[in-house]
Amino acid sequence: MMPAKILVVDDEPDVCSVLHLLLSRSGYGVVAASSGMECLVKARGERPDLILLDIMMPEMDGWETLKLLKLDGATSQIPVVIVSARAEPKDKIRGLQEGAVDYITKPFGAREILERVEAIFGPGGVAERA
Amino acid sequence: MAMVRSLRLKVIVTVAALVAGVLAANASVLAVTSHRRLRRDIEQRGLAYAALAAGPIAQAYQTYYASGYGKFRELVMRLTALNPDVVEVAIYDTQGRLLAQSSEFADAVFDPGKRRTVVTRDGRLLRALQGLTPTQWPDADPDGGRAFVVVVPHVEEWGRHRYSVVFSVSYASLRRATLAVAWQIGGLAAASLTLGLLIAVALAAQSLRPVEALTGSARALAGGDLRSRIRLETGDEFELLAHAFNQMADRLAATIADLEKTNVALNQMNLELRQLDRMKSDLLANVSHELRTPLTAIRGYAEAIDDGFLGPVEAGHREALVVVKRNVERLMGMIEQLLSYSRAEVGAQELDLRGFRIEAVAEQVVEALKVAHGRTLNLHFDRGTGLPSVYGDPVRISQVLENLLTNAIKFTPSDGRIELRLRRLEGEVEVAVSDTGIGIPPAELGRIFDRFYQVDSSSTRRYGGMGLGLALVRQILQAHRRRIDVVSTPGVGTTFRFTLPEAEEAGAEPELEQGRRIVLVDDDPTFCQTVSSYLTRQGFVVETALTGEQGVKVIAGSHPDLVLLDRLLPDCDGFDLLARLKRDERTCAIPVLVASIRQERALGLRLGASAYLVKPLELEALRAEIEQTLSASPRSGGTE
Repeated sequence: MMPAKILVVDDEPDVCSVLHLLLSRSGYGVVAASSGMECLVKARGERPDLILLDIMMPEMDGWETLKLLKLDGATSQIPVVIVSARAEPKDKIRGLQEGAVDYITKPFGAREILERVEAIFGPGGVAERA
Repeated sequence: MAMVRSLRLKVIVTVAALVAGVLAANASVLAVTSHRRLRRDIEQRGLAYAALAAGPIAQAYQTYYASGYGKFRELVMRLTALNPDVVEVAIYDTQGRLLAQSSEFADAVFDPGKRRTVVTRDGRLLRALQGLTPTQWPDADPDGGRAFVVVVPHVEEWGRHRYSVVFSVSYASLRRATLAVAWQIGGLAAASLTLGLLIAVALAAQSLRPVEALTGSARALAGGDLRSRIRLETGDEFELLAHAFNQMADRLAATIADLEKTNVALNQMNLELRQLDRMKSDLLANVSHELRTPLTAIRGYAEAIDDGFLGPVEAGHREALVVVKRNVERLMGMIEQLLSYSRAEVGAQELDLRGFRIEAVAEQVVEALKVAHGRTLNLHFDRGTGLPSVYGDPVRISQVLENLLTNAIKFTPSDGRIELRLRRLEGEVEVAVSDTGIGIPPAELGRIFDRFYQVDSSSTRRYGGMGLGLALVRQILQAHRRRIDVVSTPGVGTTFRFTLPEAEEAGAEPELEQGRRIVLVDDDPTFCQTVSSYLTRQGFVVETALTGEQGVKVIAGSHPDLVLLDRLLPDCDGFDLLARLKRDERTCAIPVLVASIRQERALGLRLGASAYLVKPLELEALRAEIEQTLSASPRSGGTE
């Protein structure tokens, strides 16, 4: 069975690399993107099973990226988890309203993020695999 | 207009009264004098007539009485017609015998031979008849009116005195003449009065015109027309008044223009200040967000190493990692504080004020701190007795307590003692937090509530923190219109004190209410506040817990009708808590609603949740779900 593939989107290379480390060591396939535009391209090309999306990015921010992902029929079914430093309840609510399945605030703990990703692929999760 | 009218009336009445008074005096003097003159005229005319007529009458008597009575009658009648005041003419002899009288003339066929002899017995008349000079005295006329009698003796050529002629002169014409004069005077007075009134009315209108002009302008000015001015060229005091009025209006217009300018400037400044304040708050929020990003990488890598993602970890390295992780936690705490401070700056309008049990809130905070700091913490909680409900924002007050206690813990050595004490005062509840810590020097007491301030900057290194905790405390209490007092002795300890007012409404005693009781377990204070205030308005009695541990305590203590549980809690998994509640036979009957941002409905329901709600919650939908769940389960409250 192919490992689940996760697209990590963050303009901070250090954040990308820590996510890459944690997820790949846990057995996921990881693809990184450093901007919203790159995310859209890789979401179509790589067909990931999950996208971890940052919000505060230059040029195209996470909100816009999320909207475009949901508008594109090829990517609209991919579950998106927002990973953001914005911890205000209104941001969380907005994220979930715009179609994200979870909202993780930075700085996240290693175990927390792995558990939440697992929950999405696990039993009852939205990306549960047969 | 009433003022002007009354003023005009006053002028008119005054002038009219003056004119009428003068006329009345004039007329009465005139009436009296003309009455006197007329009376004298009658008397003089009567006397002169008597003196002139007496001779011819006596001669006519002598000549014609006996032989030609008709001739005599005609002569006398012609003579008496000359003076209408004379009402009776009689002829007497010196013995007082009446020889003839004019009243007999009415009978045209009078026979003088048949006349009865009448002799007067009047002494005064007799004396006058025998005298040789004319005499007169007052008498009554035949109608009973006033009159006088003139007796003129007739002396013949050779000095013989046989007859006297007696005239009765009446004043009857006096009344007619006086009345005529009075009518003349009255008519004249009325005409004068009318003329005077007309003049008064004209005068009043003329003199009041400037007043009316002034009134109109003043009214326009009062109505806001600042250009209202008066143009008066009367050359008198009114013109001076108008001039003064115009000057006043000029000054007023200038002042108001100045004020408006100042107002605009102030508004502008206010706007800028508010903008600046918002920018500052935004900056604070942005900075805290920006600080989180590098922390993400640090924390992520530290935990990845610690969890062995990069291979086995040596004991020395692990110790270093613990330090790194601890400091990451501290940084995160500070960022959290910065954010909550920027949130708290919004002020009083954001408070959710209601009656609540302060001892329950305090208990939650104390328990949470005990969990966070371990059992070695020497923290005592004196919950007081017979405390009433207090009025305030329970979530904010819990922040105040947490900050005060955290502050006390930070500055108190591990063998010291910290106490939170609640006490009932007159109409309010006092909250006191005391410690046996390092204390605050008296000179610094005034500044400890300033932002980013810490007693001596070297203590920052020793005790950490950004100096926002107490600033937040003061801000929240200020929004409650409450003051915080601090008493401190360096080296001995510090006590912070504030009070909250007793709640007044009947609804302030939630424990006594018959409403359905709900316990809300969620680590997000904003969420707790929103949902709890909404549900309270809907008539529920809501208690909140911010951690799983607190939740268990509150649920066990109050045995609610329903629990609303967040899936993600800081100290435990919401599903663990759910399983625990369902295992315990004392709590297994309480319906639990699980709310989460994660889609795990199946698991939640398997674990015994009555319903699974996905955040963000629609408040209406939440209430509907609660109502439905409650109606499906028997009421559990009070059965234990």
